[in-house]
Amino acid sequence: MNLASISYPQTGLKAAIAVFLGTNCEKETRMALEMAGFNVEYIFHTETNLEKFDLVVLPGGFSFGDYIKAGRLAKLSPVIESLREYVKLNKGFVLGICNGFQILCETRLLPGVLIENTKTKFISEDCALFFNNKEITIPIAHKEGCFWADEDTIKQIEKNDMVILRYKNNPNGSINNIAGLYDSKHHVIGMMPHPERAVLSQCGLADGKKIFEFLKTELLNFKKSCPTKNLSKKRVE
Amino acid sequence: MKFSATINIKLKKQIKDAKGEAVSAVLSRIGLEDKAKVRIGKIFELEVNAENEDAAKTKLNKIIFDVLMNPIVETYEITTFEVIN
Repeated sequence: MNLASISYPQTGLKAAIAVFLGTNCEKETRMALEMAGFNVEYIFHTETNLEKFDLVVLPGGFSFGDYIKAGRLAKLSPVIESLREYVKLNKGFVLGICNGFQILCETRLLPGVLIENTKTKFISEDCALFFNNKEITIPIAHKEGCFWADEDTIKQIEKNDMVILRYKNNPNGSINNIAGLYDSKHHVIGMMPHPERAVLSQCGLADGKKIFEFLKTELLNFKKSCPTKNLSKKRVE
Repeated sequence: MKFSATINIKLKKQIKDAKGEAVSAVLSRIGLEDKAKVRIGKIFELEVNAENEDAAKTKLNKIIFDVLMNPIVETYEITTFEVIN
């Protein structure tokens, strides 16, 4: 496959990929983001300055070995403390993929929690999902991907339109087929499927691009509507 | 002063314990116990330094809630707590 033929548009959007001990999806996530037009930097989990980024991505993997529980130790990293402030002050968007979603739930930046799949198996397969009312196929690969929240939280999630992705056939037993979530402001996104593993049609699946393109569009709209973000952009330029 | 504690963490009763169910199915299959109720948890043995017992318990509580468990789906029980020195 000729990777040189892949085009990398320039949007001016800056993304950080937070790398924890045990992260293993940072490279493909970087490529997917660059294909969507992001300038990407890796940051280590000890980084605390997120000021210049429009998007912070928590990629897939097994942060801190997933010891105790997936995402439990990663939530205590310095970068997560800064991320709370980043979200609170509307500095930009956050995307958590797989282990990143688990971390976002453990930190309570997203509601609910990911527990062990109901069939206890590690599931690795291409998975049919509904995204913006359309069916797409993206791989999943996880053991703790069953979304659980109490009844009131589920009601809030549905009422506030916080589901970004739903499983078609619910392979892991998630409540309401939830595969991905927004926070109430739609600035924090978490999902168990791996869109970064489905961005090259040469590799069989390219539906993941739809997620990154959607993210890019939403972020550009957010920046247009957010005067402080535009100001900081001008300063950087 | 140094204290030692044992903490059990397990899923709340209303949460499906898939691991426990897998063990239960095996117990049924090998004929040791039919449809046994099995819940699986984690045990943490840890030592903390604190000025007195109250301070040790406060510290322990913070460790449990910030690190060891997620109260949305889990419960905890301190099963042993003693002074080492």
